[in-house]
Amino acid sequence: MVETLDTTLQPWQSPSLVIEHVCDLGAQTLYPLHARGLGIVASSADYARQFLSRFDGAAAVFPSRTWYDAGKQPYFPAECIQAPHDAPQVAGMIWAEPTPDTAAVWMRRIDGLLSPDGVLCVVVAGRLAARVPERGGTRAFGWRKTIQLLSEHQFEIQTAFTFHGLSSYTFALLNALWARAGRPDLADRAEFRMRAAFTRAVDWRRTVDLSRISTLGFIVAARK
Amino acid sequence: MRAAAPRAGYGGPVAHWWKNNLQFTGAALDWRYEGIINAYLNLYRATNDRRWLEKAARAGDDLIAGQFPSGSYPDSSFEQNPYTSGRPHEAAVDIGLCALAAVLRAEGDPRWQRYAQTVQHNLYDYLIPRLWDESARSLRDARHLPSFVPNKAATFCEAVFLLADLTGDAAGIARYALPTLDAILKFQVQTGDLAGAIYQNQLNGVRVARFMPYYAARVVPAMLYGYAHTGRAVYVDAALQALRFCYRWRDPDGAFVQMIYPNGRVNRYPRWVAGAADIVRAGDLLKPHGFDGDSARSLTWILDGQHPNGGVGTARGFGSQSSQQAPGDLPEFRDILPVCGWADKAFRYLTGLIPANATLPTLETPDRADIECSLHGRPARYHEDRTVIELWQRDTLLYRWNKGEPWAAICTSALLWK
Repeated sequence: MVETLDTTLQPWQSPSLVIEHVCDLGAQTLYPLHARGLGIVASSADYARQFLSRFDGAAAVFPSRTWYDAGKQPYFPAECIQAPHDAPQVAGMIWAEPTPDTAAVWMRRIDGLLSPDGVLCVVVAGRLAARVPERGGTRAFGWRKTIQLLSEHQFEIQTAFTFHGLSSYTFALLNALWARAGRPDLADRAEFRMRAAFTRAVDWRRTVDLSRISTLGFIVAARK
Repeated sequence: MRAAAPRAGYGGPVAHWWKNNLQFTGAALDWRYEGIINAYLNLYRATNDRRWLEKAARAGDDLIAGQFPSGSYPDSSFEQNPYTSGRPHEAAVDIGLCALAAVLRAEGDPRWQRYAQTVQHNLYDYLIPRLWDESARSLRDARHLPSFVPNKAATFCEAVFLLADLTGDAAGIARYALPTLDAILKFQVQTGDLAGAIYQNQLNGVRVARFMPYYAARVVPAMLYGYAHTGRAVYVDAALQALRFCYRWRDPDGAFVQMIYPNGRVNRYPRWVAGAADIVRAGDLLKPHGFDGDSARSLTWILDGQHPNGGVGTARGFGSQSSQQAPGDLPEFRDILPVCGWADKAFRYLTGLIPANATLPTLETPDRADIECSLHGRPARYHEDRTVIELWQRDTLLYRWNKGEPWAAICTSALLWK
């Protein structure tokens, strides 16, 4: 754990539950590859911090948007920031998240940065993503375009998940309604149902899939 | 459960009422150290075998080595890990360190000073400057938000008392601990079915009317320190009331109800197994002050939750957390999961029952446990040995933690819930 990262984060309040989910899943997926090098292509400072802290600061960070300013973020470990053209190849890469204006460029860069047998994890904004503060207001690139882009670059999706979709939102709404009705006992039960319904494995091959209506998605891909 | 990298310490998955954390399994410097250190010290006191003292010191060394320059501890947030600044976890760590330092000092071992300095650094350079609310005269739970959580504040008070005992400087007691104890007293219900219960927390001036026997019991040791220091009966009375509330909400099988709400509504499940030891221990602390609750049934409840290989299960009824229907015959996966930050409570309590000058029996303990359980209502099989914890459903491996690793090797979508 890198303390300066955590200190500049928000140590006295938790990040969004959905961010915890995607970051823990990213760390768990890529941890076996950590000895061979990890990279984080981040569209926001919070994405970079959250993933980097889970990798104990041992990852190269590539800002895909202009969120990094050394003068304004003195606590961010500057040595982790790298330029894509002179960085060494890595075995595991997090891409959080593709944006409409930079996705094509960064896909090409990731293609060069990731070793031939490397694993790529992509965080995808869903239709309910706008409320996630850690995204830094990033415009969503979308599931369909992300899958298409990965396919064009010969990546095959191995697994995909969505977080906080329609069912968990429904229980979150019930939680709020029961709390307002003076029934905290039922509100708590609704929250547990919300947490149980929070994650869904999705079939990325289907063009119409309600489970994609979610806050964030997570794709694990490797080259064909 | 010990991990070597990236940091030495005790790791493993976590199940909790508030949240689960099955993916991050690294060494966590949280409240598990309060119980682990005290348990080893109990064994040392009972047997005079220095091996136990050195195990306690090794745990203390984890904390010294891990402490950040700021005074905070890494991965100190238990079910919320991997994050720092865990409350009450950092203060609970300090309690363990103080207990270790006190034993070493009594033996003339100079190592005690390093442990005491670690506590001093955490309390006075980190927690107090960031969380002390001078206007409210109590410890906040969130830095930038008026907030108060009595059980967490009580853990902080306990650490302040214990450090003062070590250093001889009681200024912190007058300035921080006693005002905080007085703030906790205002959160205790005085009349009715919930008499003795303590509000769970207050946020932005609004009290949250949730009452948990476990957290009421966590307040007892600090109240007793307050009583010992001041002689004010109000503290011991509050502790007695809190424990009587806990025991009124104990089921016939010795387990304690999880959560009670106004008007007598409850969310009974899951009921703690290992964690129940903290409640029973609080009862034992209060016996000299007139508490007459019978702890035998609860002790049986805890012992019945022990696995063949020595691990202690976390609870019964996690699978009923949403429905609150009575659990079936099979425990849920999280019920039997031996979680370091819960098992330490049982470890501490049970070792405290060993009489002085005891010779520990040699046990033929199997090094594995295979337990039938359930997940999402379907049968599953828990397996643990010296190297792994696994969960299987038929021939499918759903979960694997290779002990010592900071992240689970396998955690399928069925278990991706927090």
